[in-house]
Amino acid sequence: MNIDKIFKLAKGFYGRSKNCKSLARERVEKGLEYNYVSRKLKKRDFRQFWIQRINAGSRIHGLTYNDFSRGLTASDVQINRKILSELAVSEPYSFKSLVDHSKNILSHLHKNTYSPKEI
Amino acid sequence: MNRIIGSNLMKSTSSILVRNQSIAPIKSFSTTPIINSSQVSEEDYNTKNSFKPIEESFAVVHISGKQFKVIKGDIIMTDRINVDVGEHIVLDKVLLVGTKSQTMIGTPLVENVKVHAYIEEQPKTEHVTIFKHKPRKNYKRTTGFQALATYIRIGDIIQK
Repeated sequence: MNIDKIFKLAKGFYGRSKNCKSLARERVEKGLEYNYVSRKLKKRDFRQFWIQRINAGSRIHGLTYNDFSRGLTASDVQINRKILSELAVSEPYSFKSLVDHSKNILSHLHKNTYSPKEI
Repeated sequence: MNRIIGSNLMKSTSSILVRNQSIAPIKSFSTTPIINSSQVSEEDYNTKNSFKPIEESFAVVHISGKQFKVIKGDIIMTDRINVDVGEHIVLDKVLLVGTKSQTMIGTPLVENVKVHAYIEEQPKTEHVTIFKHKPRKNYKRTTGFQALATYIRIGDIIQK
């Protein structure tokens, strides 16, 4: 990258890193490396974050995240974690109906599996 | 009875898990939204196929591998849909519909519910600088990337 682009990205850096060629290049390149890694981490971190939210939401209605998602998978509900967490926050009634649906399915399942109860 | 579950909407049938269940069979569906090629308006489409709009509702729709919670009037950015700007499309993969009084949960899709949408813009996403560097190996590479995107505006959520 040419030095003009480097200085453009180095705006607001601490000390000589914002106006000294060699230091600015070092800092900007390190920053871009972190950017590269973070784009991968973002997917992981957000998934964890969504799961925490879904867990908190479903525990209000007496189901753990584990059981909740087992019920949904068993009944082939394919709503992803991003949407489920969004529903847990902004649509409490719809989320409750999903938890109730999951509870209903779980009552027909054998122990901690996806297979139905033996008759 | 064998029932196929856990299939991913975006993937082909090769990645489907099979578990023993006896509820309902999986529904098959296409991966692209229906393009309204005959250029009929939203209202004409509703009357022709006897759809009625659901007032004050939200829907969870599946578009090209991503899911969105939408209400009427939303503008969302999706992956590129190869349809001209201004065209009217119908999103047929609805996973959940919520109204004031009830919630319809799809397993995996809600039947007879569709969502109107219009193509607003076909832009590119923000530029991303990709910088790769290996220390002490004299290796530095800089490239850029801009994904192709589509802005779509959501119309009515309709039901048969």
